[in-house]
Amino acid sequence: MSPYALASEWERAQEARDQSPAATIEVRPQSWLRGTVRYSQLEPVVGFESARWLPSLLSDLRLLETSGQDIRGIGDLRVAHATADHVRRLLTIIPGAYLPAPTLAPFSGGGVALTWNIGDRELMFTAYPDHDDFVFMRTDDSDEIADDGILKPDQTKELTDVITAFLTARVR
Amino acid sequence: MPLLDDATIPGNAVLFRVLHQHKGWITSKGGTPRPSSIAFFEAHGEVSYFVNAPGMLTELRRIFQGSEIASVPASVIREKNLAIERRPAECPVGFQCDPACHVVVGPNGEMERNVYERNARSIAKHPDVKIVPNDPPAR
Repeated sequence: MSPYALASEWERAQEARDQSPAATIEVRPQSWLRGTVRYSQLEPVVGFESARWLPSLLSDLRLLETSGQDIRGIGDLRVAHATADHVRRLLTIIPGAYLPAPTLAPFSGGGVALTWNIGDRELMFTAYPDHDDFVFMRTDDSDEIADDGILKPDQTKELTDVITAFLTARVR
Repeated sequence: MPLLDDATIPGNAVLFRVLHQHKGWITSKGGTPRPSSIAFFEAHGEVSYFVNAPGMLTELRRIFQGSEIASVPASVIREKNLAIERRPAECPVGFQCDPACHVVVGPNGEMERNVYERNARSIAKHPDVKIVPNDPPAR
């Protein structure tokens, strides 16, 4: 597949949107998409200036890492340093500036979930201890599962596709 | 290790899942607060629940003060190919009900994590899964 195919796909989606009377979420991730495709050997890095929510999210993540507890009857909510690092790596790959502020939550067994919402649409990535990948789940505007799977951080094309689909899904 | 389903827990039994106070564990999608799917994730596939029995809710509210509690029918769990296994030894310290009421729920065989999460989400969204209302304060 041509490295430019994704950009073309995005442009086609843009054209389709322009021709349709249906409302869409107003996002403009073209520059990020093109940069990712043309310089695929370089991972796009999210700067603090590009995602306003990033500093507080990193702070929350640090808090989970340092203050998680093992609560019998609920679960072990201690987040290992390696798991937190894995989430930080994801945050360096994704285009933070184009995404709303996510919710960060621990889950039992030392996992971390990162969830973005646009209306009823949702994109969730989960990091599990001792796994170098992420489980993702994307829902549509009816809050029904549109896509899910398991991705590694170096699958930038697939990650891009998931995030693009989340950002460009139509609002009913 | 896959869990072994305990047939002594009937399908119409109600299980309680104590919800951590983290904001991500409850959602208001659809207008009514309900547990979010995250509350039913477990990295090793063993989510803690308590089988309802006389005095159980009172005991859970005593131990986990301030936490919301979700009720989940056992049949909803089994519909999702998840097993219910008793784990009395993993009861909270000072638990004053029957320790055999403490159970864990998880896959009874190999299950990909995305499939597991899908099942957990189905449980969270099931119409019979509800947050148990708090008792009104005594006058």
